Order: sequence, then structure tokens, then C-alpha cells
Amino acid sequence: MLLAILGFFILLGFISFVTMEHEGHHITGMTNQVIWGLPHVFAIFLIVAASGALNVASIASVFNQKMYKPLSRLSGVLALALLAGGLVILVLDLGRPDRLIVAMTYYNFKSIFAWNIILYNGFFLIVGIYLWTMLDWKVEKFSRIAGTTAFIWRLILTTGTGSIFGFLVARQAYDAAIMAPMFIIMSFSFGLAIYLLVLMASFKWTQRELGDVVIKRLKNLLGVFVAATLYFSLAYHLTNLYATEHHGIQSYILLHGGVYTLMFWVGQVLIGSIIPLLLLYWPNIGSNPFRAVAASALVILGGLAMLYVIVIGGQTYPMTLVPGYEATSSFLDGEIVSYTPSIWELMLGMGGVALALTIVFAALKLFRLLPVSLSDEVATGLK
Amino acid sequence: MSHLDQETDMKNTAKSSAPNKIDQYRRRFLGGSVAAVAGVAIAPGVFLQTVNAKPADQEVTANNRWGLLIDTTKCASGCSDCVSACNKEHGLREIHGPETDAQWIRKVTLKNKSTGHTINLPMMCQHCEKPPCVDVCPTGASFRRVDGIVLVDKHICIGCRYCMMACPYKARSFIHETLTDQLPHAPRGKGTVESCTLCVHKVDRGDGNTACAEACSHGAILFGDLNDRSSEISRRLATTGGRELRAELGLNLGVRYQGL
Amino acid sequence: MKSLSLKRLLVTSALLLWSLTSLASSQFTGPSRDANGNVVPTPKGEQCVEPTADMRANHMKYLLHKRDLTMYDGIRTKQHSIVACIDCHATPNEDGKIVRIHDDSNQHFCASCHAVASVKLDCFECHADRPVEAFSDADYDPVQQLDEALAHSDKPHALMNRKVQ
Repeated sequence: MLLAILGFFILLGFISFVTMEHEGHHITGMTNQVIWGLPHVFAIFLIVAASGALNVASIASVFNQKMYKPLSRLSGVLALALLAGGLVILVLDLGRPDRLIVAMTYYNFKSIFAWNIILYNGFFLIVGIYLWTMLDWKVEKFSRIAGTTAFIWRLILTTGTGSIFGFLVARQAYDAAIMAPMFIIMSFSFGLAIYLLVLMASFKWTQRELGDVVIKRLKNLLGVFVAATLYFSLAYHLTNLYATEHHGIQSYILLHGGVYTLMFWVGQVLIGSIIPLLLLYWPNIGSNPFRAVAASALVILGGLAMLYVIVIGGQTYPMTLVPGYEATSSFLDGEIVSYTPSIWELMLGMGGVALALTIVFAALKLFRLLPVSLSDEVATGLK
Repeated sequence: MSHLDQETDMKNTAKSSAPNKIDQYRRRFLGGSVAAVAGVAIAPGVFLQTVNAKPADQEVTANNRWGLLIDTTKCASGCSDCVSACNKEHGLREIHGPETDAQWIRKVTLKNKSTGHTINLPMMCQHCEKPPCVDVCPTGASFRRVDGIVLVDKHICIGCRYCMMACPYKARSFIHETLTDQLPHAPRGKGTVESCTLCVHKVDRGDGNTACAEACSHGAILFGDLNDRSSEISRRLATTGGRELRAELGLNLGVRYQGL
Repeated sequence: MKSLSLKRLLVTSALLLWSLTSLASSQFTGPSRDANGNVVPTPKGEQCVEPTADMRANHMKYLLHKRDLTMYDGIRTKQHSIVACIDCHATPNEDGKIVRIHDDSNQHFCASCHAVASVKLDCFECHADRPVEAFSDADYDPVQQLDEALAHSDKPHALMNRKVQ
């Protein structure tokens, strides 16, 4: 049943790809002003979350926390699946997806994008090997070194993803060194949120026992990451608020950017940060599983909102051509441009999410990813 | 008409039936030189701007750096002859409206927020010496020709649009739909990014001018070689100056503006 | 490398097939025909820039080499340029009409072979499939008349936005 629903969304995504490829991008909401749209929000979210999903495994093999050991395999598989889903969206949105081979054979090494292609491919390879060391007892002794390599690689990878925006000197909303570390902390948060949901769902469906001890540990960790993400966002906006040069873009995002302001305050701050923090830490407001599920779901929604504000909100604000002068032209210079995502973009994005979940689902069926039990007795024994 | 030029150009350049390539190249080279010498001898005034033109079979070199000097004080409000000429030269047409259509050159009106002072100017690819689009392009499809013209190799452009995100001048357009009836000298197609080519086909032909500069009846656009100290563009830049847009980015632009 | 040689094998066998069918239908002499028996318009001139067999096997090699010379080095000579190929090969058919790459008849020189060989041809998604002289003034200036009509429009940038049939 689940597979049928996922398959349906993958099919929708495929239909969207074929239509976009045939018609051209004019059927989407993306334009020469808003260059990257909803597909990129989904893709970047999944790619960022992918590296974060690996954290649980890293905590086990790099930081030697025994309780996380039985959680590692799912963590590795989820990381690969999310990355695959995100990359598929990114590739299928290209103007010439048929030239994927060109992207793999021609490299401009000054381009952070080209580096990312190498980083993504390397991630598949390294995490693949890491998973192998976790699944096959014969190579288990290499698990630590593989895990450490994967952990370092994922930090570089997210630095690369954040730098896609950090290196954009032209645009006021980007061009900031903080983008790279902020993306890393975002990945911790989004990745763990997705991991928690997938973990709890898969334990429930396979009728395994998942005790409070594990959930509590993971939910408290999620809280730290959510708070850290909020802190980085605060630092980014405060720094920009201090410079008069950036007052325009800041007041746009924070005060009168319409949907982007709403998404920032309600989406990112309230739904994505404040409410989850309350859910995770406020005493006596429900069971740990409830807190974890509700907070994770909200963190995911807030994360999508955050990326929507960064990716799209940042593009809708005009670039300054000559300081002190307002520009007007037939090419919408000097104007706040509008963007309405099309159904095609949503279908493509959802298709990528569905693909990632399908991969996890298939892997759960094919491999022994989950421990027999993570009841409180088992978990306490591992401490 | 440019296609006539091209036709005669081709008649001059080769009688291609000869199988011996060396002979062919020699003949073409000689033909080119003779024409150039004759040109200089007969009508120096007419050929003034084409003395730098290279023979058709020789590579472009870094000895030239092509650029534009735009006098905003001469650029007339409401006039968009340069835009029409560019569209005509390259076969750009309206398809789905200004949000998604390609615009290689556009008229921008700048208005001072406090004084109301207005400036009109044409905006196009600024042909940076250190172009951000070239830096960010993952496949190297965005490139800068040695003579300073920034182009897209559409054969290896994958349509990721990162160059458009990186360009400080919004100079680039993505082709959002299937195109038909492209002109022979201006191949363009769906799913790739493009921008002003500084009329590279005209430059290579030795026209010594761009379509926009030719069309400007106000004399606001001057094409020339920034490396040639004796060219008009260099002399005017030396005497009256010219500013770069967003000069703080340090990109060393091929397009300069006066009256900003 | 592997895929390249496979591709070449396919092309060669397709060409072989093509020549065999031509033989069988005794069209060995006279004008060349496409798979459906339509006459492919005769190219201009007497001899291609390279021997026919060489061009059949290597035309893409020549085109790609010249493409890079043109794009990166600004060498725009006629030799091996796609524009020059089209100028000679895309000539009017028996009805005096210049054939296009997507015409059903496959009379376009490139299409006539690529259709038989089933080799996808995407050059003309971007490049002109007609010779320079097939373009009328209207093609060069698709918007001239509208231009004049709009020249005195009070909308400052209306000239940018014109419709073409």
C-alpha cells in the first residue's frame, strides 16, 4: 500500500520531468529572474538532510557511543536514499538533463558546483563502503575508519552545498561565509528529524520494540540542533542588519516580503523552531514518542520554509546596479519579482521525496537494517 | 544585410573543391592579406575600424580586448533602437513574455532616490575580465575568449543556471521553450543559457562594430579595442573616463559607462 | 571508447543497409534517394570538401573539430563549418522548395541518412537547417513591421515585447 502511494508520486514526478523536458521551463514558475524554484528547495533540502541523516551512524563509529550502534545501518541507508532523491530532482530540472554525462566528464575546478558533483559521487562511494563494513562482519574491523572518512566527507559536502550560495558575490541575500556552517547545522537538524520519523515508522510497521531511552536521547539531540540552527539564522540576520547596505534586503525578508516574511516568521521560526523546542523540552506535555514525532514533522516543515526563504526569497529581491539609484527596465530590473510555483515543480519535488522513501523501504525489505529490539532493557545494556 | 555579407565572405574565403588543404589555406591567407592591403591603400577612412580585423583562418589573440563605451548622456529616453537591432541580428523574438524571454540587451532607467536625477543606459553582458559566470559554471561551458568576449559553449551547457545566479548584471537568459527558425550565425536552443555575444560573428568577420552600436542614432554606443591605445574607445576612455557598473566587485568589465 | 565504436558499427551497418537497398531498387545511378524513394536534392558544386566515404564515416569528427575552432578561436572559414555544409547540401527539391530537417519526406540531406540509420540528430534544435539564402529579409527581421507600428508607442519598453507568427 505504502509502496503504491510512493510509486504514484514517483510516476507524477516522472510525468512532470517528461513534460518539462518536452515543453521547456516556461510551464514552470521559474523565470529569468527567479532562476531556481521549488525543485531546488526540495533538492537542497534532501541533499542537506542526507548528510545529516548520517550523523546517527557517525555518533556510533566516530564518537563511539554504543547505544547508537544498532541505529547505524538505517542511518547510512537513509543518507544514501535522501541524496539520491535530491540529486534526481536537481538533474531532472536541468535544461539539458540528457547531458548528465557532460556534467560528469567536463569539470571546471573553480566551480563549487563541479566540486559538489565530485562530493556527491564520493558520498555514494564512501557511505556505500561504510554500509558494507556495517553489514558484513568480515570487514567490520574497517567500520571505524570508513565511518570517520564518511563523517569528514559529509562535513565537506555540506560545506560545498552551503557554498553554492555563500560564493554568490552578486546577490545580497547570499555572499556570506556563514552559509556553509549554517548549512551544516541545518543538515544536523533536518537529517535527524527525518531519521527519527523513519526510525519510528519502520519499528512500528515491523512490530519491533523501540523503548523510551533511545527516543529520549534522539529527541534531546534534535532539540540541540534545532536551537543551533535558529542561532545561526539569528547571527546571519543580525550581522546583515548592522550594515546599512543590507537594510533593504533584511527589511524585505523580515518585515514586508509578503509570503517570504510569513514563511520566515511563521514557517521557519515558529513552526520550525519555537514550537518544536517547546515540544521537545517543555515538561509534561506528552509522551516521548509523541514529542519526537510532532517535533520532527514540524522541523521538516520549518526546514522547507527556511530553504524557500533562502533560495526563492533571496532571488526575488532586486540587485543594486548603481547605489542610490532605482532601476526600471523591461527585464524587471529593480523590481521585487513574483514567483508562483507550478504544479510541475511540486510534482517533481514530491517525486524525489517519494523516490528517497522508496529506496529506504526497499532497503529495509532487502537488508537487515534494523535491530531485533531496542527496548529500554536492550538500550540500557548498550550504554 | 548581414546574410549577403556572409555570402560574399564565403565566396572570398574558399573555393573548397581543392583537396589540398595547405594550398587552400595559403590561397585564403593570401587573398585575405591582399584584400587588407588593398583596403588600407584604397580607402583608409572606410576601413579605419577594421585594421585590426584578423584573417578568417587565424585564431583570435589576447592582443585585442573588445569592449563598449556607452555615453549615458547621449542615450535617449524611450528609444530602444539598440534593443531592436540586437533582436533582429540574433533572431530574438517574443514568445512567452518578458519574464521568460531572452533579452540580450535591455534599456534600463536609473532614477536617483533623493534627487530624481535620471540616467538611461543599455545593459548587456559586461564581458568581465574575471566573469563570475565562468567561475561558477560546472562544466566550463561559460568561457571567456582570449579577446575578452564572454560566451557560452551551448554544446556542453547543461542548463543548471548557476551562471545566472552568479551574474551581477542579470545579463543572462535561459531558453524556456523550443525555438525554431534560428539564424545561421546565431544558433540558440531550449534548455541552455545565453547572453550578449558582443556580436562575435561580426567581430570575427571584421565588421569592427556591433549591431547595437550600429543602430544607435544618438552615437551613445562605441565599440572598440580596449587594448589598442590608439583606438577611439581607448582615447575617449583616457580623456573623458568611463565607469564600470558595480566596480566594487573588481571584475574589470569590457563595457564602460560615461555620465553615471 | 566502447560506446563510440558501437555507435560507429551501427552507423556503418546502417549505411551498408542503405547502399544495399539503393542497389536492389536499381537506383544506383541517377539522383540519390532517401528510404522512401524521395529524391534527395542534389548538392551544389561537384565535390564535397572531403571524399564521400570519408565524410560518411567522419563528418562528425570534422564538424566537432571545426566547432571548437570557431567557438574558441574565432576561425570562421568555410571548411567543415556546419553553415557551409548546409549551404551546399540543403538545396531546393524537385518542387523548388528548400527542404527542412523535420519534413516528413526526409529529403533533407542530413535527415535522409540519419532517419535510415536511426541516429538521433540534434544539431538542428539550435542550428539553422536551411542555407543562408533561404532566409528572407522577414526571417532576419521578424518584427520589422510591428516595430514601426510600435515606434511611437508611449509604453517605454513596448518594443521589447512583440509577437511573431
